[in-house]
Amino acid sequence: MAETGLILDRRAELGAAPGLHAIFIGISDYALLSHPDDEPPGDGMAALQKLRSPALSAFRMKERITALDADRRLFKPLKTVRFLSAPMPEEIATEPRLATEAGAHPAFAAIRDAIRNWRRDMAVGQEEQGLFQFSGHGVRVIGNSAILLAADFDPQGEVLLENAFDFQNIFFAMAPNSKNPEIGRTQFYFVDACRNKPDILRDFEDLRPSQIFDVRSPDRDDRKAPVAYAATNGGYAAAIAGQCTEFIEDMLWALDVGSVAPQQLPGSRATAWPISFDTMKLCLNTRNLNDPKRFEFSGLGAETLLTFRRDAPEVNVQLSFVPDAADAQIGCAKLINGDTNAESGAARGEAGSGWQVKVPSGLYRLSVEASDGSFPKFQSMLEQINLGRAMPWSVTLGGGT
Amino acid sequence: MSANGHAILTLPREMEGLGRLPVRVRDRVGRIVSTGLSDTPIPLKQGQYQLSVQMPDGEERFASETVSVRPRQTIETFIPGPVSQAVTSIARNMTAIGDAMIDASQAMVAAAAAMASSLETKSASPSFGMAGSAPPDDNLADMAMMARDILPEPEGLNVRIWRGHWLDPMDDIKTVFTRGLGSPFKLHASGDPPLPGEDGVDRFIVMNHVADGEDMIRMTIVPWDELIGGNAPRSPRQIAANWREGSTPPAVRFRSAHDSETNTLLDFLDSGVLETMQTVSSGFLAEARTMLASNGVSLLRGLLATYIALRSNQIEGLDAWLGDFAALAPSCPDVHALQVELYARLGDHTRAAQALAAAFSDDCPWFRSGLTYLYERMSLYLELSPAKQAEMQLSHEDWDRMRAARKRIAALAPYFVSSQSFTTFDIPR
Repeated sequence: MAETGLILDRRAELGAAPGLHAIFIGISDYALLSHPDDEPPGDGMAALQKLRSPALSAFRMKERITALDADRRLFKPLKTVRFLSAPMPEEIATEPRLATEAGAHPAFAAIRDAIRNWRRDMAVGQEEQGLFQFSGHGVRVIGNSAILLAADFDPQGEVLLENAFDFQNIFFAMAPNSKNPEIGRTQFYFVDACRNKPDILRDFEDLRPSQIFDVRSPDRDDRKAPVAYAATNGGYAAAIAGQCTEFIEDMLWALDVGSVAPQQLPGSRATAWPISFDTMKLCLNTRNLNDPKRFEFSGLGAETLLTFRRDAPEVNVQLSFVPDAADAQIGCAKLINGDTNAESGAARGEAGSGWQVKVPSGLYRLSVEASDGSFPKFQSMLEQINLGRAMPWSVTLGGGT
Repeated sequence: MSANGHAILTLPREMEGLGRLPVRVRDRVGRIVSTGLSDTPIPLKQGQYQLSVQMPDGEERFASETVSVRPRQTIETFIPGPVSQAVTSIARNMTAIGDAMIDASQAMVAAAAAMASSLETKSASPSFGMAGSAPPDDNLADMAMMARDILPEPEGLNVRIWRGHWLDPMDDIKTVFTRGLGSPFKLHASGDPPLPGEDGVDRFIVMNHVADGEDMIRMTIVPWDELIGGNAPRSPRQIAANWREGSTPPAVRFRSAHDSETNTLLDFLDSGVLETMQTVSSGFLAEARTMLASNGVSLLRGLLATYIALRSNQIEGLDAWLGDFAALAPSCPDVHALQVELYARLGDHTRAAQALAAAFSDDCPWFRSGLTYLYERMSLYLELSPAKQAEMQLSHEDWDRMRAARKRIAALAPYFVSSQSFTTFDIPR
């Protein structure tokens, strides 16, 4: 019998060679929740309604990771992919493939089986890697947990969180323990859900979600297992109907370009631009100053490399010159690549937006000359230009103080 | 086998107060080929390299020229002296030995700006000689007074101090913090006399603010720093608490009076430049036990380095360091939290559970991560089967206290501010 949600299986092909095992879960169509266009939200947990972004978000993440694998941009080849989604029509309108390629239906039992199988695949060797993504409804009962709701979550259920599970239960169960001492030590987690505590939950004395795994004390936990949350503890994740969630939209961008410096890749002679949760966070925080308030990066070993790109990410460099009188007399402003001496001329943007030039990330000098000799030629020292650098690059010309 | 040479990146005098900073080494085409610390030899193969230093605000500053490394030779290169903008940035973002000193340097920057060359950028400008060097006296109160004499005093932030114990019974979290409040006073951005350290009581700085139209109080724990170990007389427990001007909601910046590198680490923490913090903290931990035995170590610096090591899960050798450190810092509430997490990561749950039981008698952990570690581990242990719990060798009273503590922390959790490194709560008024 086919394994729940398994849409890619290269276990036989790769044999004992380690690979990346990915599981993507996206739940928009919660069967027992109301549609936001049809009915006003109910009371208590019935205030939760169907969503219109998570299934699309899981699909896009799955596509991105698959594409990275096809481009050989992952550190381990993709060995298994599990995909479970419950899309809404708005998402299918955006991505018609979701109508026929939705994977398994993410009821609790299916999620439980898929995650257990995912761990079983991970448990065969320490070099195996794992990637977990959940997009959907989430709540918090106590502490830092993220209780994730399955598609058959019932707000009127006799056991409220029967069809829900605790992310911490999974995270701890993926640590090496007496049952799975050889489990893969490199794991990446994306938790795309709210982490607020609805008032109704305060009425319950000891509310427990269903367990995916028995609770065991981990053995020596030497994992690299970074976690990215779409919401800080107590916060809300956000999305526009029919589009990816804001969190996944940003993650997709960062998985493609979120690197700040080239280096020789581990276990290889090749040089590339590595991408880790740390570099993603750095680039995201520079791109959107609100990201540090919305997203939370935690877990173990955020510097662990997930993917890489072979070429330098392009940076839209914004330049700001003062005083205005000097800015008005600029005849030429250009970035000179510190390695190749290639020159990229900056252009004045629209009113008030300063100067701009697009260059590949790297080391550059800035050179500025006046059109009329009103200030001496300026040349900076080498500066690192990358997506983690705050813009604009501000320079005072002509002896202003 | 080819012999390595070495390169050393030296900081200008004006930046010495920042301590050793993380260094990146790039080859001629810009690839990062090695990392290290400033003022420390970095082994490299023969070749040409560009060296840069990572500033605590995330800025990367490059040495003035490319270096040629040859076998068995050590070559030194320099970061050029800061320009007015760069020093202003340092002054604004990276206090090295307390804001008082920085404010003094700001005044000097203002003076130096008048002397600046005709072209200014962040990377090229005259240096200021002694302007940024550390003052001879490490007394924060004196430095604060000096800074106030130099600069106009800004408005300040009205605060109070709450005193109590975080695990005491609380009927209503929203009202409990209205009791035990001290008299109002002002925190200034430019520096205030340091707060003395106290153990046996939790102290939070209480600030009022409005979030989404709702009146809130923000409570940030008050840690302290001291030098522990070594042969020198014990240093006073104190911490400088300054208003982080312009922050919304209001926030406090803590400064050590004992160790400039501690403050640099705090700035790295604030900037979220974790990758470089790992370099600094692993460099520190490599020699920390020796330092503990000889010159002494800043308590906060030791804590920060250990938290960073746990964050990146670099736990090799951490047990021995933490054992030495804990013996010299029995009053520090984060020590048990660090032990709980480290022992659990090492798979030694009996020791972790015993450290956990000891933590219930402690004050509230100063660092957010410490509180999280305690909570997550106690939640895990409370879920274990009775047979597994029996292996922990805790008393019934310990388990009862653990349950009560979990309930208390769970009540506090909704108000926990995860964007702050020091334990902070935002509570509706």
